[in-house]
Amino acid sequence: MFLLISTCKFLMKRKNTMKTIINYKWLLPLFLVVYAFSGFSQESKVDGWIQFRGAERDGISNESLSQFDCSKTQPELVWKKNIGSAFSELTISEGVVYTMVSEVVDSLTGTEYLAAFSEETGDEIWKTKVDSIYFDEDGWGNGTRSTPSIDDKYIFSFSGHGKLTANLKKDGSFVWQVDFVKEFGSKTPRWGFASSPLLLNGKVIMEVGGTESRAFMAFNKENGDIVWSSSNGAASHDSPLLATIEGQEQIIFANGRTLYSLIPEGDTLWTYNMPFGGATAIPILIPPNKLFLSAVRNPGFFVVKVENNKASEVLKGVSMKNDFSSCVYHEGYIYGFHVAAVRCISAETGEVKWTKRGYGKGSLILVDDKLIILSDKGKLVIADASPDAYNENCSVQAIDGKSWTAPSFYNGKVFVRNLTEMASYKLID
Amino acid sequence: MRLIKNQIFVFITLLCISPIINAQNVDEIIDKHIKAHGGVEAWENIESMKVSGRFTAFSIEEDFFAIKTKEGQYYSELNLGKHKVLEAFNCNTGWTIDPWQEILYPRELKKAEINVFYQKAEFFTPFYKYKERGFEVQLLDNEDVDGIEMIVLELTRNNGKEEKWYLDPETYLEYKCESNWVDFAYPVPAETYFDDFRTVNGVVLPFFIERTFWQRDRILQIENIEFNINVDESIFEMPKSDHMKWLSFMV
Repeated sequence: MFLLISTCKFLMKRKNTMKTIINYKWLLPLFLVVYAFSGFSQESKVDGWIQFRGAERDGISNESLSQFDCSKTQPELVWKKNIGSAFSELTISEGVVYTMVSEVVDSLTGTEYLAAFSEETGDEIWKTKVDSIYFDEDGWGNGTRSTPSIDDKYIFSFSGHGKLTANLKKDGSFVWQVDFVKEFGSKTPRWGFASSPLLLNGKVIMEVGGTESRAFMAFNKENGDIVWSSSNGAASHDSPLLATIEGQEQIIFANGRTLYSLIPEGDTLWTYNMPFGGATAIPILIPPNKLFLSAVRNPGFFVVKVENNKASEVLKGVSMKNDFSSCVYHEGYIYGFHVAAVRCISAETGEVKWTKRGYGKGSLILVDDKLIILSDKGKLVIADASPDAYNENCSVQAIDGKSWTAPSFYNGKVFVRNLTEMASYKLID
Repeated sequence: MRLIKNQIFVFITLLCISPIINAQNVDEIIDKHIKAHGGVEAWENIESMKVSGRFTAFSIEEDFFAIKTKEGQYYSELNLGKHKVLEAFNCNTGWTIDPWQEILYPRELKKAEINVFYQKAEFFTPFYKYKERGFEVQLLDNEDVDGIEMIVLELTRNNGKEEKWYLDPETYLEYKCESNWVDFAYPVPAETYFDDFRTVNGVVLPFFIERTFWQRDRILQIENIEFNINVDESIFEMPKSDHMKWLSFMV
């Protein structure tokens, strides 16, 4: 924009402005072409915990916790609020918390909503219907599994029945919706669709699980039009990761027993036959060029190294078995839930550095050099992210009942939810 | 030549007596283990017990209770997610009502499950009178578990099923057990961890037991233990299903 204004000023200063404009008329189409294909057309980067597992989908916040001293200050409750059933994480940006909620009418009917709440007070700002409710037959919990993603203009959500919806961020009004089951032949996985939208270069990237090479698809964020589709595979519970490896931006999907890498334009860069299928935990990037994947299988995890667009196994083992919650990587070590115990393992060797039991099938994120752990019964724990030993700094019973949703962190506050309730805890001002 | 003969003699002698040395070590360890649990005398006075507390499955905590007898009978009622599950074992066989398996009436335990019920029904510790019960125990090399060099005992039950027990070298109480378990009646390996040992009426018991098998996580938090309760023996026998009751006039 600065360049555009400067150019206009330059033209206005010329003695014969009209003649100059005619002489430079070829500049306009050239400018438009360059603009269209450059980064200027991309959505501006939105600040906050804007999608599943945070800004980079790695479960990490780079906010500083150096001012937080557990021995002096306990996590302080800011607000707590009853909301309808869902497993979606809380995404936060520009003073607003977005998540999915639901309402049950009777045993057969109900509604899934996308809702926005004040980050400061927890008060509802707007709530908009996106689909009929997903009822879980096994009784684990009804409602949406996926986490909404925040764009500069829209919020993208994905219902338990497989409908991708765009709503305006300012008031929740409906923009477009795509029904994966009806339009692409996707089959609803057991326990519902759960993959979370990935936003990239004006596109919404999704694991669709459709027929006819529509396992993965990109949709124009403005209108939901298909931009590209790729590969074969059924819908899983996993979410794609965006990673830059060897300078190449790539989208990583763990689908079935295959690990896929696609370039942002949808072409397959490489694939790798995984030693297990059914991963729910999101792939983790071990910079600069390794990927860590884990599932409750044998082996429990493996690491591949990507060189020259080819993935090869460098490590596998049983010392980390993620069920539905994901790990974080920090300074050579992987921290995560090994079935139902918090564990630290070496990313180089898989060696167990320490194990801490008692938090059930909880979840964790990393803020600064601290692990923010939420037990499966809602206990919020702050511990050192260090391979030396498990060192708990402090804890608080943040929320009651089954808590299978990972915490979020933004503006010095931890945001947690269980199936039906959410809360905000302040760590630093 | 004579030296070589002597060396061979000493070597063979050592080979012969090594199981005895090992056996002594095993028995010493088991003796300390039993004393850590309150000792034989305290346990000899107990004929039955009822443990009750909270049972966590699928991250949901619910009430549970279990009744055990010295003979090895077992009965429990617990909530597993949305379903109530009943289990009973009469020392040899047993029954369950487990709606998770889409069977709403009592059914007999399967072979793989019976091995699990021997473990569930364990009254005291499997090392108590293990020789009389036809069990075998072998001392293995120490292993690091959670940063502690644990004493490791391999127990082979009289049904041939093996379990690996990790005892805390400080307390001689059990810390971990690796054994065969079942998930939806299918065999799976399990790891069980024992914690929060408390003394009740002179005997020492773990009040926190966490078991993981496959991706499952089950936690027993004992809140109350009653000893020498009156046990209605009929609870161990398989009840007739409601459908069979309708047909009882034919008998």
